[in-house]
Amino acid sequence: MKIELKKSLQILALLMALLTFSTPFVTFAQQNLQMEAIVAAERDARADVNTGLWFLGGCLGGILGVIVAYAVEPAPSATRLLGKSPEYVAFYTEAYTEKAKKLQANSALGGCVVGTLVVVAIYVAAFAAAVEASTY
Amino acid sequence: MPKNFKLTILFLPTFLLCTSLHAAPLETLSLDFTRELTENDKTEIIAGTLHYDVNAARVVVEVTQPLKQIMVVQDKMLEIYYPLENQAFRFIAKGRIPLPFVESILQSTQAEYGLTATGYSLNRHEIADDVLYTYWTPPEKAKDKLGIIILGSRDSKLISAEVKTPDDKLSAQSFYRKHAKLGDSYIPMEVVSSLYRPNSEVLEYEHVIYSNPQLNAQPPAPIFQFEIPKSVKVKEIKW
Repeated sequence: MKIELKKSLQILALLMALLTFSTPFVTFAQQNLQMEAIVAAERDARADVNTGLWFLGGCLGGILGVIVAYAVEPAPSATRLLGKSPEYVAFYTEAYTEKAKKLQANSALGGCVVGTLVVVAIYVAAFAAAVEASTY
Repeated sequence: MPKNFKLTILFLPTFLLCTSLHAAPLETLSLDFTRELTENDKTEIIAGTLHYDVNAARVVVEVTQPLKQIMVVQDKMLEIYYPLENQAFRFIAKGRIPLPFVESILQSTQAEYGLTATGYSLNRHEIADDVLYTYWTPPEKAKDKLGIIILGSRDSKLISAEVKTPDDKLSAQSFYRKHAKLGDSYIPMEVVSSLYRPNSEVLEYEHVIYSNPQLNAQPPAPIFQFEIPKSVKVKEIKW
C-alpha cells in the first residue's frame, strides 16, 4: 500500500514537472508562430501597397486623400492563408491590415504635406511677385 | 470481319461517350494538387484537392497537408474552415477575391485565358520558334497599378506567361507543362512560377503539380455544396 502511494506520488511529481517545463515551450511556440505571421504580413503589406500612388493621392487630394487612405481596408492575398493554422491566419490578417493601412496613411499624409507646401510656396511666390510689381 | 464489327460495336459507345465528354462544356472540375513554395530558403508543401464550379464561379480548396483546411472562394467572400479545430473565418472584401495559384489553372479554361473578362486587351502578337506570343495591355483605369502580360502558346496550349509592372519590369513569370485535354481546353498539369522583387531578385518560387483531373463528375462531389456547419462560430472580418 505504501509502495503504491509512493509510486503514485512519483508519477504525479513527474507529470507536474512535465507540465511546468512544457508550458514555456508551448508559449514559445505560440510566440514564434505569431512572430512568423507578423513578419510575413508586414513584408507582404510592404510589397502590396503602392506607396507612390498613395503619396500622389495625398498630394492631389489633400486631406481627402488622407481620409481615403485611412478608410480603405487593404486585403491580403487569399493564397497566403492556404495551409496555415487558424492562429496564423488571425495574427497574419490583423498584422497585414494594420501595416498596410499605416503605409497607405503615412504616404498619403506625406503627399498631403508636400502638396500643401507646394501650394503655399506658389502663393508666396505669386504674392511676392504681385508686391514687387506694385512697388515699381 | 464479323469479329472486327463486333469489336467496333463494342467500342463505339465508349468512343462516343469519350468524345461527348471531351466536347462537353466545363461545368465542374476537380484536381488534386501539390504546391511547393520556396521563399527565403524555406520550402513549404501544401497538398489537397481543388474543386471549381464554373456556373457558380465557386472554388473550394480542400487542404489535407500540412493540416486539414477547407477554403471557399466565391465572388467577394472567402471562407476558411478548420474541421479538426472546429474554427472558421469569413472574409468579406469590397472586390473579387483572387486565388493566384488557382487562377492560373482556372484561366486556362476560359476564353483568352480570362484576360478580356478582366479588362485586358490584345495589343500585338509575334511568332518566334513556333511559339505565338500575345501582348496584353491592362485596362486604362488600372494602368498605374498593372503592367502588360505576355502569353506564350504553342499548338493552342498556354506554355508561358510574363507579368510586368507598370514601369515594364518583370513582376512574375510562369511556365505551364504537361497539358491534358479536358473539354475544349488544354489544362497544364504542372505550373512553375517565380515572383520577382523590384530589383529582379526572386521573391518566391512556386511549383504546382496537378493530378487526377475530373471533369463534370456525376454526381458532383458533395464538397461542391460545402457550407460551414451552423454550430461553428465564424469570425467575420471585413476587408
